[in-house]
Amino acid sequence: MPQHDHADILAGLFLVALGAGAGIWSLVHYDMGTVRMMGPGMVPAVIGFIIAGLGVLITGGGFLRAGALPRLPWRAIFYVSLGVIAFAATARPFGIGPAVLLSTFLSSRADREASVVHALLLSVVLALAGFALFRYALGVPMQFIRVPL
Amino acid sequence: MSGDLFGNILLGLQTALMPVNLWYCFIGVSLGTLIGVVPGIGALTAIAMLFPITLHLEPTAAIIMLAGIFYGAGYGGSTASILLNVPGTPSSAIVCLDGYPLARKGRAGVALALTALASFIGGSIGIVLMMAFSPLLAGIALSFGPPEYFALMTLGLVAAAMISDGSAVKGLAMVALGVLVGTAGTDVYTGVQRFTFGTLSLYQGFSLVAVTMGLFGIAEVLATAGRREQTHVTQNKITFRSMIPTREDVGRFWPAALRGTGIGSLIGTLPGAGGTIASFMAYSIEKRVTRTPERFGKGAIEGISAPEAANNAADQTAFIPTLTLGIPGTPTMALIMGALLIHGIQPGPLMITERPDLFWGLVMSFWVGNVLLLVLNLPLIGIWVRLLTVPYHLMFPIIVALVCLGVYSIDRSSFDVWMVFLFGLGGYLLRLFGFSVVPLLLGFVLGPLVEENFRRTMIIARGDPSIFIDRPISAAILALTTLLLLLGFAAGLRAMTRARRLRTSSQTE
Repeated sequence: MPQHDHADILAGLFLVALGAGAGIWSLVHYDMGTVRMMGPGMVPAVIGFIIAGLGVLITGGGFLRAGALPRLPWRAIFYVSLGVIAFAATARPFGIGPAVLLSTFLSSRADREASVVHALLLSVVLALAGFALFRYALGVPMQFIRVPL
Repeated sequence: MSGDLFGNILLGLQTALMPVNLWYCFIGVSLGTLIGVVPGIGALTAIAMLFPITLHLEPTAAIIMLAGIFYGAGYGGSTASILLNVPGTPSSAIVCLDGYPLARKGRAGVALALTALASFIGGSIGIVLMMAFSPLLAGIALSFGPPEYFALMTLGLVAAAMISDGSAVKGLAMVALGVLVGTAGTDVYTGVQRFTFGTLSLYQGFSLVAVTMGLFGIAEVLATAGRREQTHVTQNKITFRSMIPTREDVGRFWPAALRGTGIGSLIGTLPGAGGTIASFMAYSIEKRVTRTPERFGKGAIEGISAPEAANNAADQTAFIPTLTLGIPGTPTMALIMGALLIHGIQPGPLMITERPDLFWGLVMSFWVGNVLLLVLNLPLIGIWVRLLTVPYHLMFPIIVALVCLGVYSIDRSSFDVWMVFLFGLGGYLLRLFGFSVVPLLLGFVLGPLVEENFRRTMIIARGDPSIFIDRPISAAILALTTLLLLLGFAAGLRAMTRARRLRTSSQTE
């Protein structure tokens, strides 16, 4: 069993980097103002350094107890991410139909035992139903399919 | 004020019974029940997923529907707990303990009927309390200035950090991170662009919808996709006859449901605590007051009645601080408040007087919704039970697609979908490393308001922070906040020294 909690050490360091980064960025780029008339940089700078301070506490705590890094479910992360990214990348140029179809199909691959035929069927149904819901029931102007020129 | 109550109720009923609002109330509670029944999707994921749909509606209908999804999920959640031994929503997890044994004894019908009834009792009393106390609290809050609001919001955030699971330090870090994310966008006082890095898309800051959908929609799917649990429905057919409780059941049911309602109503108004905590507390109190604690865990009627009454009462009373003070205590309430803000309505003491149709319409829609839920959950229970057999590997791709489509539909912005991805993956990793994203969302929603009220206070007080102590209400609230912080750190320190002692003793061996 490891003597340190690597998960907390790592997470704490991440917070230190993020908080200090945001704090320093605010100090450099935004006006601090005075306490009486606070500038736009005051709150982000203070909050940034508070985050960094709490990160130090979390990292410090991690050295005092044992723990292990969590295991990442790579398959789920990969396919669900791919599903969302596919939507973001295709919705505007190709329209809602292909975007929903791709995101449903790709994210359904996160389950290794799910059948491809079922996933395809679900994607087609969802593309049609989802478009109908937003376009006709809610009246959002969207195009089902587009050909980018 | 109480003289107007009758008039207000009438106005509320007029609004709630308008066909449009009635329809969206029905849609809301049905979807809520559906989502509550299906294990794996909690009320929060559901609201996050359906949030964009409501933005295309008129504000009153939108809020009525969102609220309906929320308390509807509270009703449906216990069905899966009883029949599958898998909680449909976190707030009904505790119902598994006694609900599932009841189902195995062949008494699922009674368990389902009594949890629906307990939900109705808890919900109804919660609504009555809301009707009685909201105008009172709003009256008091009218005299609050920026220092009081700053103090109240800080208390809310600190409480959320302390109550959330995981350590207090991690909770505080998440609140601070939320506040930091909330500072992005145009500064209201100076017009300076903060953390926008030159993109026009961040001009108004991160979109609440994208952040929520990421943190609670995509992150939830990442945590659950691909995981397969063997589920087995104990009883497929629930007949009406099997739902009739015995006289002994009824005798045990009433006092437990009322005690649960009391606990839930109180917990619901507290910042940071919600239905889940209420139901767990109600259960442990039932176990303590009974003369026969050995029956618990083997199908005690009290064990299912009190928690269900508690979480539904808490669901209703949680609206009190949100609507009267504009300070949400739970992420769901933060979303409801966000929806109001997006529609251009500022929740707070003025809302009740300026938009009585909205406030009382919402309250009256709760009555309508609770009655609809009783109908949906008693005679129609069979339909929901059949839904339990829908496999999760068909559910989660639907969530992913609906989340993307929903976010995209608001502004037709691909940027917002990318943000969903960022916050989804980020939120999931944070959860994996033992951080709760609930305080993050509350920090994100309340952060800009905390900053605004603090800066306004400093302008009023000419930079002298003693104003917070000179004003009695803000002084009392801040003292309470400090106490809470100290308690949290003391508990953390104690846990740490204990761990260290354990380690040194194991090293010497």
